[in-house]
Amino acid sequence: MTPIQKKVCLVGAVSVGKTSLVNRYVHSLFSEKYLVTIGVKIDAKTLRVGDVGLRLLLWDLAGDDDFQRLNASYLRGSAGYVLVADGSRGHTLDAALDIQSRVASAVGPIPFVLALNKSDLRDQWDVDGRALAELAARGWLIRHTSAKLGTGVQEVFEDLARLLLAPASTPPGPP
Amino acid sequence: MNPHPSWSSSAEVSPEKASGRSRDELAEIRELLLGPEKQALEHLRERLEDPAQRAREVSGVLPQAVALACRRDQQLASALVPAVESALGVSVRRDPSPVVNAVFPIIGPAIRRAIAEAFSQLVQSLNEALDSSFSLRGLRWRFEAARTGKSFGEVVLLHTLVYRVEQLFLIHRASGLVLAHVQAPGIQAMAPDAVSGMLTAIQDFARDSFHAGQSEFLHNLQIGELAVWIESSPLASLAAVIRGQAPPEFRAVLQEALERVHREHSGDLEAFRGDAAPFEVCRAELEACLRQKLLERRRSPFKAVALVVLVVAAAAVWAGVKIRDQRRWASYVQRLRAEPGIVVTATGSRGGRHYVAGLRDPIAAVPADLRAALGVDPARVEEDWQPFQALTPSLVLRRARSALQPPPGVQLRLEGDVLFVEGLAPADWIRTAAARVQRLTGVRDVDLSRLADAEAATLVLRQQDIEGQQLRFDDATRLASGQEPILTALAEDILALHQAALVRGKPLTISVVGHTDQTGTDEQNLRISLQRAEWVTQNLVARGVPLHILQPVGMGAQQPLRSDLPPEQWLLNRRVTFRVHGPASDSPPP
Repeated sequence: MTPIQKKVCLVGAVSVGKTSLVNRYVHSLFSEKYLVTIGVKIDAKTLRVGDVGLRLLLWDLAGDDDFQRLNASYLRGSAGYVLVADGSRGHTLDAALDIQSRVASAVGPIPFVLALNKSDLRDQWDVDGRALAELAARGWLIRHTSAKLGTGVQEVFEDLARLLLAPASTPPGPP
Repeated sequence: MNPHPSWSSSAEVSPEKASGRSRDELAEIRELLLGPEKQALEHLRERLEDPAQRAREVSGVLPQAVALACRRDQQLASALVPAVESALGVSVRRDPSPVVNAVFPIIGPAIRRAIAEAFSQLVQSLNEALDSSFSLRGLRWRFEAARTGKSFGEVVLLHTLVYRVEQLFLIHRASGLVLAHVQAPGIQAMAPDAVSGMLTAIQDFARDSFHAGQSEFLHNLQIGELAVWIESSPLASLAAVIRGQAPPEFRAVLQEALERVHREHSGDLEAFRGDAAPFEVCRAELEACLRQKLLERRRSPFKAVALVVLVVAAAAVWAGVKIRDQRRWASYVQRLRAEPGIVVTATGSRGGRHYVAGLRDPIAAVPADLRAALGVDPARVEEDWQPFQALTPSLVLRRARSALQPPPGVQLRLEGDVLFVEGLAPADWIRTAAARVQRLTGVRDVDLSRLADAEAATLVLRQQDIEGQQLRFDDATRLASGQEPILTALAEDILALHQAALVRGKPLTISVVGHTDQTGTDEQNLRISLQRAEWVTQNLVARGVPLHILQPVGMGAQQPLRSDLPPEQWLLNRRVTFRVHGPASDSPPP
């Protein structure tokens, strides 16, 4: 049976490791230069959630900063997204919160997972535990990942996949 | 049995009346008691007896009954097979279109699949066929195949293509997810869903970068000889990956296909949440767009004409050679049949070679010589000759000639089975001739009676020559004018005769006879005649003739040339004559 396709975007500030996460998860088809040229690189990954086959189309969107704003066009039609922040750079979590609100206003309340990347750099950790607890309390799904070591990567996508297949429950609201 | 006995006993009426009344009452009671049941029975009977009614009722329960039966076992299905088969037959005979319409959606994809498979096989066989071709172009393409890592058939196809639609993507416009994807046989497509996403991203990128409206879209991407043609509707896009130069009309084909998809699946498109199953049926629509056009190889008419001319010329040459060969063979066989000493018993051809068999007299003409004279190719001929001896006169004669080896001057002639040998021949040959013609096939008898000794004849002739000569004199021992050459010739003749006589061992004597005219006395005449004979003898000796074979004789006037000569011609009698005794004549010298 043909798997269900879902478009999933990876969003986050510059250098938080979105592309590294994707590269950890799939064997990349296209060159990373697309990111700097047209601002997106797309990969696909098939996985199973229970009995259901799922084909994730991972749109790795170019990092959001002052020079390159998130292209809202690329978000259209997304079924969910992975919000990525760098645990060793606290301000990227603030950026992620900002991005999340912009995504939600562009595509509506769709499922997402927050990936706190670079968990291998625990000694340089720069994220306030209370802020995270607050987000979790709001219903956010938060995963600590290390694209470098591979820890938590698969789980981020599996969590999101489960959310995508869940019967239209209320997704976590914006802050 | 009467269930109510009290009613009949209490009535004071005549028996007939009483019985009639009681029947009416009974019926009334029965009606009262059993009326509803009777009506129900009546109703049931009507239902059972009315087929239309029954059919209406069965139709109500039939689907349920069929479903039940199918769930239970295969019996109903088996029972229905003949009926369904004959029903289909009747339907097709009556009007094929309903069945055609019904099977059309199945047949289309099946045919396309079959064609795709056949095409794949064609490419395969093209590969194999061209593997053995070594034209310059073939080698170039082979090199290209090795260089690019493509199969040879693929390279050939690429060079002979005008265009080929390699892939088609039906894309959900909002999400960029692929709804359906088809590809031409032999095309390696990489992750169609990711490609579909990128195509959508590129669309968005182009639109955003150049501030185009949402309804605008990128129609065409060109990458070398590959092009991506994109058609969009509000909910879906159709992207065709085309190698080569597709005609502009193809865009209309794409538009129509997309319109049909949109029309038939607008609900599915709106409700699309990632499950592409409803769009599986669109594959047929997309496959119909997988078109291609091959280059029409324009063959130069000159080449075709040259080819035809060449073929015709070759055929003509072949036929010409064949006919000439046949004619030569026919005349050879004819010649063999006409040839004495050769009997042809069988002739024909087998395995592209002529053959002839028969009998041949070893003395007859040699077939190889006849063949060579007529130009028959010996390599294409088989011959089988059995030896025999022919009794044809010419052959018998030839055999006789071969046995006798007759010298020139001898003729052979056959009359019936008698061989005549005629003419002059050396004595030695004549002596052995009779023995040589013994036991000669076809000759019963040999007649040598007309065969003469050639040398003896020569001697006779010379003798006659010599005896025919005379030398005339003017005076006693003075030759008349013009007689000198005769004397010289005579000397030569006598010498030759002498040589021949020596060879044959025969004695030779020549009388040299002198004569005078009638004037003078006999005594004078005798003396003068002897003087003349001796003078000639001396002169012959002087010319080499041996003296001992010459015998001078004087005859005086006794043997005049003619007795009736008038006196004025008596001078003619002054002469010397010769008489030969020896090899050819047995007359003794005087």
